[in-house]
Amino acid sequence: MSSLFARIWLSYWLVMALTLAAALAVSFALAVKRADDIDRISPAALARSAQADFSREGRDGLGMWVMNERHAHPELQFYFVDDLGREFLGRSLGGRPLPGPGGALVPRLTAPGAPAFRMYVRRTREFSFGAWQLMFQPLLLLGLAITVSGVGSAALAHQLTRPVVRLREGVRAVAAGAIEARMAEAITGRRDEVGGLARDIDQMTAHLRALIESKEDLLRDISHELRSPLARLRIATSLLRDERPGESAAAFARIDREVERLDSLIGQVLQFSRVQAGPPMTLEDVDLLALLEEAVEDARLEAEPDDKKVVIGKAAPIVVRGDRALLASAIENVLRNAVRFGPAGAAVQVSLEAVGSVARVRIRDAGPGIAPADLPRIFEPFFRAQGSSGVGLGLSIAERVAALHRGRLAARNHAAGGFEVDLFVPTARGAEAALAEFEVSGSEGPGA
Amino acid sequence: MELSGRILIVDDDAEFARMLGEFLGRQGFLTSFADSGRSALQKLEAETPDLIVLDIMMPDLDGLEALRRIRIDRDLPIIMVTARGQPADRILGLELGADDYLAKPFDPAELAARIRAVLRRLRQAFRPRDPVRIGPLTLTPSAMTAAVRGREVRLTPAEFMVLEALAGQPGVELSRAALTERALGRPLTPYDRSLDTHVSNLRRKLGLAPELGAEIRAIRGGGYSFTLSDGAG
Repeated sequence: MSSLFARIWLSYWLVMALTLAAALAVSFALAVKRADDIDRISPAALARSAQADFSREGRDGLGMWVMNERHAHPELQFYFVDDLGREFLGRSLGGRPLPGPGGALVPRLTAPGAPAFRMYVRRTREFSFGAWQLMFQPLLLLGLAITVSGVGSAALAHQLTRPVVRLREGVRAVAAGAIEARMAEAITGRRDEVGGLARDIDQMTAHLRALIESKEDLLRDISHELRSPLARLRIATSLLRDERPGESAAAFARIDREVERLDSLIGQVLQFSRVQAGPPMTLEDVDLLALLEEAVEDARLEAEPDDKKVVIGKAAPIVVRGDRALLASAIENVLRNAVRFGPAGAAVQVSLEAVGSVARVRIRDAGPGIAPADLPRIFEPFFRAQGSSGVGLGLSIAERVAALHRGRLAARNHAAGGFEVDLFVPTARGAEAALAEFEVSGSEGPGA
Repeated sequence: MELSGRILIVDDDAEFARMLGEFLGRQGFLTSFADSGRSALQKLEAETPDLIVLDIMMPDLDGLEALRRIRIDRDLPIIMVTARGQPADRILGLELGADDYLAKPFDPAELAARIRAVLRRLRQAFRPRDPVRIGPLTLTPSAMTAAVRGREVRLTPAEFMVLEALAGQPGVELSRAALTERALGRPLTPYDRSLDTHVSNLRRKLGLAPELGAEIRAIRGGGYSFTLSDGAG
């Protein structure tokens, strides 16, 4: 019972039920008191005061007395009836027998020159309380109060929380990467605070969108500015090499290598900066096996000149929900690392399996592995293991991509030698259940 | 150099263009320059080069827009180069009908090799040959056009050569490496998706489907095959 709906519902219900119950109790108590008061009025005293006015002013005096008493005791009616059954003041008795139930008979009133008659007192309403009224009527009313206030406050809570629920849907769409998503018209059109909040959120996402776009533009410009001089440098070395064949061949090769290194550094820094920003993701059903096969084909093309191999072992067809380009770059980065570290003549082992509802891409090289002390740091940006010639961003990129897909990256030295990296990505459905599972299966990895 | 041609280099980086021109000149090509998309379009009205090397990021009219406008009425081969390094740019360039793509900084020798590959393929294709009928498809090499059941479809040179390589051997599964070699005249390189973009362009333009009697099928593990349905003529 922690939802806003439940809280609003329950608190309104409680307040309304208590208010109704209190109101009932008060009016009940008042009614009881009133009945007690009336019971305490002495018919004899009333008769005496009526007799006094009657004696003094005759029929008119009695009429005035009735008017006054009716004001003082609206729940009582007074009748004056002679022996023949006629009402002394000429009022109709309504055909009701006198004394009626609850009516009281009082002594005869007499006055000189007037017929003797009796005064009757009748209650206009029933004020006697039986066991049923005393016990069950309040309970019934209380039950009714609880039911009515329950339904009423549920409707109220629903009314209050519905825009919040819709607001949440919109915000979640943005959080899931749909940075272009806008709040529904039905909410932004509201004139109340919730509508204001929705418009504020729209403004915020618009601002974020502009920031992300300007950052993308900046990255493109930086890439262009850094790569243009490299492009000129590359042609310059080619021209020079042509002019001085044979001479300084090693130096030219070295310059070319440095150009390539700078180029790949720029590429990786841009890629890392992009995944770090939590990029807008294009979610689709991705055939992970096809993606892996493509990456392996590329890795083979790169590995062949160095007499290295890439072998696919277990390969289950698995579809995950994710961003194809990001997943491809994660696999590519891990795979290139493995190819780089593996010795010539050896093979990089690649497999794809479903572990529960998590897809596991496992890539293992036959290299020397990593010093155990370095293991906790390998996902840090720009961390380079000893002997690595890479930029030091590949695993950081892969880890970010895994996290963006609510997955994980785990790495370890394999018991039989070599370095092993697991990329876990929850399969299309049941991501929540999946999380728990790969916490277990990937727990030996660092950076957990 | 057995193979040469006139190359138009379109790049706002004048120094880069000059050095590239010098390099290609030594390789036996004749080069001319344009420093923006707009001036490239003007140049094209006066002269027709054998091939254009087109940079993407340029002031006034960028490379992608220039490419789109050139492709409206010309089939001449175009190689895109860019320093932006956005995968989306590459795919967009190829989709708009570029024949090949290189990311800056590139090895100029690699560019020269690709230019030669494109020109060589073209010259072979342009040798007078009769139209060929394969299933619902009619290929006319001299005009670089294909027709599906009589409906003519305009293709870029690269697309035509990919289609010719595939349709020339119906039912045969060709790996991406083999197809790149045969149709684009160069070896497949890592992270090279040019072939796949050309194939997806072909599928879109031709609208091939089993009902029409032929389709281009992707092969598990990479590669494509052109398959004819039973009874298709």
